[in-house]
Amino acid sequence: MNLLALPILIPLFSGAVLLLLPSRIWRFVLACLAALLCLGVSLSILNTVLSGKVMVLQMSNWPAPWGISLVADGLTGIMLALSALVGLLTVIFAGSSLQHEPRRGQSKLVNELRERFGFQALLQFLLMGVNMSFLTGDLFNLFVAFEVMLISSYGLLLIGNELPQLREGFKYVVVNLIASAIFVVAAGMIYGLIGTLNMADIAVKVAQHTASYGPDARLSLLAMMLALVFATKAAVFPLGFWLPSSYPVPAAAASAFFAALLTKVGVYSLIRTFTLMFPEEDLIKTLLLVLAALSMVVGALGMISQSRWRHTLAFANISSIGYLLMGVFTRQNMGLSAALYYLIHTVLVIFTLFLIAALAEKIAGLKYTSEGHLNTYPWLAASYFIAALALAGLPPTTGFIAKYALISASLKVGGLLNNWVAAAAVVTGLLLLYASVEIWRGFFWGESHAVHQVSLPAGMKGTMAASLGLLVLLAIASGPLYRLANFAADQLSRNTAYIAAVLVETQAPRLGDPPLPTDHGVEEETH
Amino acid sequence: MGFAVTPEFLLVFSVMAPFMGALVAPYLGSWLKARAGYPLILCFVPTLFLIPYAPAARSNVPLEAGFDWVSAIGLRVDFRADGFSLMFSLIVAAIGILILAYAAAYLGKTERHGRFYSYLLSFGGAMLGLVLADNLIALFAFWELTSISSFLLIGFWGSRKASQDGAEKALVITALGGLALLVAVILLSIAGGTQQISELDLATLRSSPLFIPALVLLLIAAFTKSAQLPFHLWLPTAMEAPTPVSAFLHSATMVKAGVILVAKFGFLLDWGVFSLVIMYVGLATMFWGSYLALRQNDLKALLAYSTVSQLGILMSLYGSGHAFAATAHLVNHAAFKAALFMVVGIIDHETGSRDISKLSGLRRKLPLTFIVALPAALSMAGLPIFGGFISKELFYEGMVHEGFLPILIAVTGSIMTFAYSLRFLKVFFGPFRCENPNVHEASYRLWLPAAPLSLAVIAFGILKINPLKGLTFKSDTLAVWFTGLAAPSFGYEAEHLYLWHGFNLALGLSVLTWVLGVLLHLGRDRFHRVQQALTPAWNNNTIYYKSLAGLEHFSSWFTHKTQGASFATHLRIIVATFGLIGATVLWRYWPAQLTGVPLAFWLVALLILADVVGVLSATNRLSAIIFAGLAGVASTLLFVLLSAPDLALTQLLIETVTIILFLSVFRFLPRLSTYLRPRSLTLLDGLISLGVAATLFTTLVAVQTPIADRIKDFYLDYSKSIGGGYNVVNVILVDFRGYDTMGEITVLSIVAISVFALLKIAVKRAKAESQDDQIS
Repeated sequence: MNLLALPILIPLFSGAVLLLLPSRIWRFVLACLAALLCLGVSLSILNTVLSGKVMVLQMSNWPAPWGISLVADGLTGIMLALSALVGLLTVIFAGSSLQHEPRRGQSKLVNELRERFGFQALLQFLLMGVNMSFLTGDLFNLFVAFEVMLISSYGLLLIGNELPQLREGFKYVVVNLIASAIFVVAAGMIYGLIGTLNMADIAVKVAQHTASYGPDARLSLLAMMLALVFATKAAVFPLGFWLPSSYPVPAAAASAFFAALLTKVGVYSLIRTFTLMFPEEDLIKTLLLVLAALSMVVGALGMISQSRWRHTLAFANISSIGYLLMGVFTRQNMGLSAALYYLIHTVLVIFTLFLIAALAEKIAGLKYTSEGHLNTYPWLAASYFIAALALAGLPPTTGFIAKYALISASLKVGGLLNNWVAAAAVVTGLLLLYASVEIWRGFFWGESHAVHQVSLPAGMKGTMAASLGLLVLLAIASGPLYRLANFAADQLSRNTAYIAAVLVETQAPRLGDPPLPTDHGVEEETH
Repeated sequence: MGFAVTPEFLLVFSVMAPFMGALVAPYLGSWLKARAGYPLILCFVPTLFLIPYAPAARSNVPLEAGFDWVSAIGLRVDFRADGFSLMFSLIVAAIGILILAYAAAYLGKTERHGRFYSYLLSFGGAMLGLVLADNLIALFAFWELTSISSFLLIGFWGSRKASQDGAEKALVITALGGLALLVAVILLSIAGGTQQISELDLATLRSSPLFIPALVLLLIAAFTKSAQLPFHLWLPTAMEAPTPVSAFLHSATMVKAGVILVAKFGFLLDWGVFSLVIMYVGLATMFWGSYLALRQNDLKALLAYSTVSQLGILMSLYGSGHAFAATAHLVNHAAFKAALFMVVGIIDHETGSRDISKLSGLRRKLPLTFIVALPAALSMAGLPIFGGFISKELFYEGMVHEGFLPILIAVTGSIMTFAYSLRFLKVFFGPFRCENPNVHEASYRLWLPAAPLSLAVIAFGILKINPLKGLTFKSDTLAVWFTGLAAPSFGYEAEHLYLWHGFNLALGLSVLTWVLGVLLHLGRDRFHRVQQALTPAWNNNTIYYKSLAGLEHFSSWFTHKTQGASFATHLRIIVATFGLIGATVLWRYWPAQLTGVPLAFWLVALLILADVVGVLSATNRLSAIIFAGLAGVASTLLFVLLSAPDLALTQLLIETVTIILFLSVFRFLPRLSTYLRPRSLTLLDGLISLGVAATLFTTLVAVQTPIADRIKDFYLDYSKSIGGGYNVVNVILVDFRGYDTMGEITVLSIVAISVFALLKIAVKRAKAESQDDQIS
């Protein structure tokens, strides 16, 4: 049985049903079940693709490149598993946190209203959009996936009607709509020039064209448009100004999910664009590498400049995108494996840190400068410490392995630019460490005024602990994990399996062939 | 039983045991309080069981063990108990045990004991790992772990600002060196083709252009960690840590990590200018450290600067290749300095003060502490019969070989060392003076852990024992056995550790040192005034705090400048990038084939252009909307011309609805004139718009000749036969690409859901607020 449509259909249906359920408990149970099911399916897909098989599902049974293909290779498998995992944790975290006041000194009405009027449903739709992006093998369908993702994230951003939400939500949606507009122009033009929208087909035709005619500036032009769209989605400097002000404003669970996964969809799309469709665009890759280095540094500087939990972490997110792209564009397999390992690591680190921030905001409000919580909340301090080590790339965490692998790959490939990028990565490490220490000093050390201890919901604590536990587990299991990253990177650098699975395995009808058998004409509901 | 303790297991376990202890320490701490230190001593015992493998290390077949962590990038946790590593890990374990016993008596009742022991044991494990590591990355990992645990320990009393600053400073500076080390180990592994330290080959490395950068970075790492000039500033402020920590980390073990690095990689660094740089940096540090030690009034600060100075000695000796002298002094310093720190801890504990100017005559009240302190302090001063004398002689001998300037600095530094050692001892002599009159001798639980170290200081010179039967060493003092352990690592023979070297230059210099040292001690008040007068207005602490403030300032400025810019600016950047993209290839496609475009299209284009100008120049909203609507209608014409009447109809419908929507929200919006932009921006925006137009135009022209056939024919062929519809567009929407349509329908539904939620929540919140008002 082909499972590929399930990571899209499960959240779609559960999202729809969630809107009909009358009680909070039932909504929570269904959302959890859906997320669990999604996790099971995603892990099963990951397990299948790990054997080296590329899974393909042709939607409506139209053969590629005429229909829309869903494709899962190693990278997709990893991304699906990550999104399902983070999705499940977010659902549980939201279930717990939305029963309580958002942060200290606020009424809990806002959160209750959020829960009652569709937070969990929107979260499912968001998961659907994210999974659509990871699974699609079609450029225009990727645009549709982005729309689903954008509009549900916009809903999540606004729900609760707080003033900052409405203000920042407007900027968020405008920037993203502009990016979408460019995307749709690019997709249209790509169809105009290359004559197809199927990514594998694009890859084949671009490769054939380049092989016979050499580099074509028109292809570069279109690749650059895609790069602009995806880099904006990934919040690469200087296109990512929308992120630090918008991610901190929604409910904590939404913030955490956004930061952990949404920007990574942009990175994922960049990886697909420049490993599958336009692998020869060296100039654009170089340009993105420079921007990656800038993002690292700018993100870290931004972190230092902030004094509110989630704002600081939003900048950490930008910095991590820089590291990620540094690996992606280091031009060799080594860099890509390091990037994929970093990707797994950073999704969990950023997510964990945002959950910690949510707990901290319940203790003392938005800022982390309220001092002295080490003795009152030692477990929170320990969790933060471990996560911060991972963020700054210090041993014995996954961050250390990732940073080492990235810098080492960069230096091994060598060359002036790579050396400078490696230097930027090294310096950024120090800045991140400094910023993390400032949070530690500001929130955990210092004179303790534990007059009123806040009791924190077990669900929130539990989810944070689970996320942190996973992070620790990843560090221990880094050997197999890195092999996984290696495998996926290897598959990306040799696209043959992907292309063959999408294009060759299907019986492509040729023009002039007799019409396909009539029993084919079943509508898409069967899938 | 099936399980046997193999030597390999023992080696790995001896590093892991302290980490395991760190995990149980919090529980033990809440149960046994301070006394949890006693059972935790067990964590360092496995290391002692490595002693039987000393002969193997001595004959250069060391015990090796390890396991894979991330094999894909060659990250193995490998340990190798070669002579030097084994020797130093024994020091770490032995002092670790004593410190745990000391801390168990030292810590107050209200401290967070579990946390303290947990940090301390993490450090112990990290330090053992660092010493024994044979994999470059593992070495780096343990190196950073020592910095992290040191950070936590210095900031153990985190409610004090001084502790926080000290901890942060130590972390920032050692992490700076850590980053240098990271790059250094990467470069070394690239250049050497291996990550195993024991497999690094000098000839291969020298042929690589990466070798010299690697060595420079390695040295930066070593200098930061071992507090060499100009990075020494973190060590004195690290004294904010509880005294057991200062004794363990910041005198005996962690601060030696840089020296160890230089020693371990000595075979790479033994190379012309590098040797000289290390030696002179070491000597300068030695001089400056002892100079500053002389002016301290706080006993702990005196010892801190003394440590800086002694680390300088070690650095200069290893750097200039006098490994034997260095190793001997390394052992000595670890012993006497740890003992002295413990003594200061006792003084602080019993008198409540560490101020030299307020304390004297303590030997009457603290006789046992005094007995422990005396040999240690005299060893620091370099007087015979103590270990410090022997290694100081060796230091002199070494520096005499290096020339006049080195020996001059060495002797001057040693004179000051002698003087500050006397200054330290002064608190025990003279009439009893202390702000707290009720001073009693400390409990044996405090001084007893320090006693073995003082004994070792004496034993180093004179004690003749055979530590293990069956060892066939040529000489039989403990010191020779111990320093001899490291012999195969450096290729020296540890044979001549004698108190009496005969009348030689070194002895003469020693006598000179004592005489001048005593004179300096007597004239200390005058010297102190000179020091006061010479104090510069700034030092490297000023630089450190200034740069941190600068960093904060720059971050805020930069982030405010970029992030704080107006939303319009952010949009401009994205849109302008789009405009630039096309402009880059515009020149290539400029002479476009525009002749084939039918006249009707030109007319429509003109119409749209006119409408756009109308929108832009409108001063009230109504006319702007009307022009925008007209532009929409004009584009509808395009669909008509392209024979797609249904699309034209759809477009017309959308335009109409949009205008109605616009008009209905019209009255809620502020006047358009409030949004008029300055002329310069209008120009900029005009340029950006031109860029966008250029990009779109270029792209449109560029795609007119596709690189491959478009796949549209398939849809025309099968639309009816399989899709069952004559309208191909419709069949594409509901069948060929029905999945897209499903997605788009979902998008619209989500919009509806979100709008519903927003409105509902707005109503509910308003209601709740009005209720609140009524109640209040």
